[in-house]
Amino acid sequence: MYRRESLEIRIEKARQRRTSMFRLTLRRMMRNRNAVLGLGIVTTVSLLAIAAPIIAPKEDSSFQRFRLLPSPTQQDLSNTQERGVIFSLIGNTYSYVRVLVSGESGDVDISKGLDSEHLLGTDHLGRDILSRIVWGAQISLLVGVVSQAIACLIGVPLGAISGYYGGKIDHLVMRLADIMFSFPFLLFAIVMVAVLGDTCVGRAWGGLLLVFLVLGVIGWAPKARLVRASVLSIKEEEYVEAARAMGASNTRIIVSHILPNCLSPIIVHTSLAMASAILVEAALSFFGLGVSPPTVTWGSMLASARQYMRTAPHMFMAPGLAITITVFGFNLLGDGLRDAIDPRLKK
Amino acid sequence: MLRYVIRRFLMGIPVLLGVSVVVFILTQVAPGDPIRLMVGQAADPETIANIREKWGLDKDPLTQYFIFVRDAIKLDFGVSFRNGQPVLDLILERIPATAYLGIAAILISIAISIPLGVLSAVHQNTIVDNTSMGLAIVGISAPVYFTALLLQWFFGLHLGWFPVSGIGDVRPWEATNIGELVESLRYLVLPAIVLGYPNAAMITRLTRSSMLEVIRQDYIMVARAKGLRERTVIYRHALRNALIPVVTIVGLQFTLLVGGAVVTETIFNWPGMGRMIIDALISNRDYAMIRAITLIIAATVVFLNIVVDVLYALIDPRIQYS
Amino acid sequence: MRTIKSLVVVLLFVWIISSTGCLQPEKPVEEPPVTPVKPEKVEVSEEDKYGGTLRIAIGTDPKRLDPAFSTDTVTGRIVQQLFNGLVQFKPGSTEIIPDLAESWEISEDGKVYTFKIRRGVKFHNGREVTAHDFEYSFKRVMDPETASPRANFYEEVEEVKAVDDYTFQIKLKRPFAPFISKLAYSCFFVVPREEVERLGDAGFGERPVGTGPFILKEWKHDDRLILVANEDYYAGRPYLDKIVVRVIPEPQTALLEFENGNLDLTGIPVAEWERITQRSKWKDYVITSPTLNVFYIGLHCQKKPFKDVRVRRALSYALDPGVIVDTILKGRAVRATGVLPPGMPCYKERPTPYPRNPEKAKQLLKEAGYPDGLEFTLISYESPDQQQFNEVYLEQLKGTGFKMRIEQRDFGTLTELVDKGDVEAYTLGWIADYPDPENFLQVLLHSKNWGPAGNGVRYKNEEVDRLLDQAVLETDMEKRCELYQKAEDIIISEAPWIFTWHRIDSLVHQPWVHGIHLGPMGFNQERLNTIWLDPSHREQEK
Repeated sequence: MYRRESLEIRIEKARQRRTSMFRLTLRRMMRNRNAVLGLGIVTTVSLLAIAAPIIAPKEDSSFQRFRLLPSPTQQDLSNTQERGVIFSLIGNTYSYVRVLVSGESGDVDISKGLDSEHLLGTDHLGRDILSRIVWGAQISLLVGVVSQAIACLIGVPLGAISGYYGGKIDHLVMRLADIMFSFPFLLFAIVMVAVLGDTCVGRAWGGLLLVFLVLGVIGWAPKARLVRASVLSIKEEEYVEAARAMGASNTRIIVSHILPNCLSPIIVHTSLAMASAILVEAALSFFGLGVSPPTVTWGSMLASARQYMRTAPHMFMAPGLAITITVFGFNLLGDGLRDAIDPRLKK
Repeated sequence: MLRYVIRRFLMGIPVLLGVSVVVFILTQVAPGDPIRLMVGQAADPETIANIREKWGLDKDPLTQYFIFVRDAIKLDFGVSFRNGQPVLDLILERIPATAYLGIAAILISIAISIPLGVLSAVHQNTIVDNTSMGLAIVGISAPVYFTALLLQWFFGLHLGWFPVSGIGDVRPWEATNIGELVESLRYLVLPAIVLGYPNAAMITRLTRSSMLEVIRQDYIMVARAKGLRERTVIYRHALRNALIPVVTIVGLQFTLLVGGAVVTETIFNWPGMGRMIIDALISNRDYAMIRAITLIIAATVVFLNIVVDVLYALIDPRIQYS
Repeated sequence: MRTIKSLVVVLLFVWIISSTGCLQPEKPVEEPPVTPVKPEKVEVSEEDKYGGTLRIAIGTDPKRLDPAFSTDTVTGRIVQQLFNGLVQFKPGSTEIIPDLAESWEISEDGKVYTFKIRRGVKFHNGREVTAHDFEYSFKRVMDPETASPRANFYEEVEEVKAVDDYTFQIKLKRPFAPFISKLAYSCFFVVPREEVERLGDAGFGERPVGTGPFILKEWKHDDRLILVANEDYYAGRPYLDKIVVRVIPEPQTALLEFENGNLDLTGIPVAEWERITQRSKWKDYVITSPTLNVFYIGLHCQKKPFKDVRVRRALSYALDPGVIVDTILKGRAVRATGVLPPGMPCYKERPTPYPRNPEKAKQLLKEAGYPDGLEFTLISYESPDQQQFNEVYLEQLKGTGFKMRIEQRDFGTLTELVDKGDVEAYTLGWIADYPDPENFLQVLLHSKNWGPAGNGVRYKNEEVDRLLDQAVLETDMEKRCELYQKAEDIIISEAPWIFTWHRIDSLVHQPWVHGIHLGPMGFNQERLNTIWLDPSHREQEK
């Protein structure tokens, strides 16, 4: 027998469905080994980044300018001995394998290869590479996070409005999105950073602000499209009609009912986009755009290591591998999330 | 269908206009005076003002924009700051090199990735599958110039198999005999591999997962039950269907290629458009050049998207266009 | 699991490659001790010297191969091979010798220069050069219609005239002693009128026609230029048949090509200096020469904080560029103790004017009213080298009371800011246009040249101005040097700059290349017609 449920109950049921779907998704994800690995990598790197001031073996005030947390004073550094054990293990394995295979350790000019003091060696100015990697993690991750936050802030509302209201607004927003899509992402970023690099904005925070803004502003279009697609499909659902009938304002409907259901594709896309943000930052540094010293990112480390590739290759391998592993992690995480959220949607 | 194509073309025009506005505003807003850069240090203000007037940079921005659009429609993109040559000529001179590299990269990546993807799907979880997936993951995760420099180092310098820079003395279409042709192609190998690697990685993974999905489908089971040979099953039935999503991605390769070409051309010293845009942006502030190249790239992307959509419609009869 | 396995496979692969020595820094032990054959006096007859192709590289595509528009060094280098002027520098030196003018006279009052043009010199199109061509060429640069960026080089010129077919006269507004050296600069080279008019200004820059030892045969933009020998060159055909100039933006790549044997000479990048000069098999084939340039940190003398001479002196005592010269630049620069570089006429050797003394710096700052220290902004040129220098400076400033903020700009923006005076401190360098102290002291530090004309620091000292003005009019070189040295002493004591260093030009060449000259004017000024290759090598190349 068909019973007419009250509107409130129907809305509540929709909410419950969402929560159980969430739990289901989570469980599915945990079963996907790749996703777990990805999550693991991302978490590790994030922890490294946050804990940088505490873990980094060498604190060198001249090379980082932008810090999330205050760095320890000289006395605090003496407490890092135990924490350094982990790094010693990793570092020793590395040097062990290397010595095993090659028979010698690198040592040239100012930059030194591995030794007990510098686990990953030093760069051409004598700075400890391991510390720079750890500090660089902070900035590189920040680039991914902040730029994606900006992209979402722009893209999600635009996509929602576009999908919900339709009509002229929809057309306008989609045309704007087309403009963004008509240009290769990397090239767009290069053009904007190169051209705006010397403005006030371009110089703030050692060039970081510009990188954040440019990557964020360029990245809104895919998110908008995703949100719009979700909105379009959810718009006609029953509980939305119900809420409207109850007199909820459009904004409320969008925010409380529709958006939460759009989250999943956004999260997937964000994870993958963070990976590409880190890669784009590396490419920008390659051309000398992007951040300037003393701010350190993996991309800028890679760029300055380039000319020393023949004389001091360890300078080059460390940030390169750091970037590769981190991006790999984000990619795995994104893929895993996507598979978990809707297994039918395997691309 | 024709109506659809025309409509897409028309929709592309406001997009291009939008791009032109954006790029024009960017170049106006940018600090740094290209005239000053042209002239070098210690030049007196009169010379500078004189040159500025000659280049038409003393007019107000709106007028400059109109002149720019008006000329662009006539395909006159102005004159390069660097050497006074018409921008369009300079670009046309460079396009062959980039096109040559790009096409080679796409061909190589497709030639390697689709078979590899199929093989990986068919022989899931074997050493072939693991190695190719591993390489694919590196391909999409490692920064382009990290792999580029490693490859350049290993194959170019250490093994000495391939030259590490330049396009060679003679371009392949200028070669007069087989020897020159082969020599010219040697220069192509490393840059094309580097450029195509990320794309190949993506296509391999996509082909593999698409194939995996299709193989599990019912009609494949039916085909097998019917007693068809495995090979027929794979190639006649599974592959064709698996390729549909792959075709879309391949169509989008252009966008990725252009981005990658910029880095690859710089590393391998390849005289193409990617290098030119970097020079124009970073060393010369060659506004006319920057605007022209952005417009041309945007136009090409729009055009290619239309082509891909049409192809897609042709391949998959289920898709309708009103 | 599968993914982990695949990743491990790949990573191990990469690991092993990188460890098996191909990425290892080169050790002296690895290579058998190479005793490069010391360049003995190879007895080669004159005829045998002829022939062969020289392969060199430049860093960017030249802009316009037109003397009227040649402003950057790369374009200048190619222009030198294609054109001639009235006078030239003796190869490898700053001495002026005749080029297309076989002799000249200077009037009593120093204002009129009369040149006798050589007969029988031909343009690449076959026509003979006359004085009228010089008149045309000079007027072309001076004409505002042409919009030549080098028009201001003609500022002393009042009038030029071809008195007859082979006599050319230049009248100056006032006597200018360095004028004859200035004439060696590319903007005074001669071009054929009919070609310029036929091709247009822009077209001529693509298909230049000059009188020089080499002719431009082919130009593939951003890729290479091919120059061939001018059989009818007035000084005799160059030894080389052909020069292939490749465009290679990255110095490391150029060096790589050189080591592979694909280039005959190249510059040496910073990172490779030690390896090439000490351990490679080319270590005896490195040529260096101090060149006429100066690099400095300019301090804005009319604006706080550097308006106060004590603050400027304090900074001079706080920084020590010598450290950079010794550790980073190592043999590619010498410490600057003044404005003029070694090799410049009137150069005087002086001890380091402000040896590092953090205590004194602090004290001077206190006197100037900054007991708690001073923060200032350094606008510096954007390059990997400069970044390294900046980091050293940052280290040095610790404990001196100065705090420095660094902003990096590309060259165009930097010069613009300096022009406008929107700076406190900035890094810049200056390369001589012609070998005369006037080109340094007058252009860069005379008060009438404030701003875009060269005196970016807006330094003003009436005594210095007076000495400089006098020296320009003076014709006796000894007296001029006295005046210039006195002016320089005053300038050094007032520290409008932090005098950092003078760069040394260097290049490395293959053993089979001979006849290279490198002088204070730099390699870009040298005409390559003196270069010849070993006949045996040429045989191999075939």
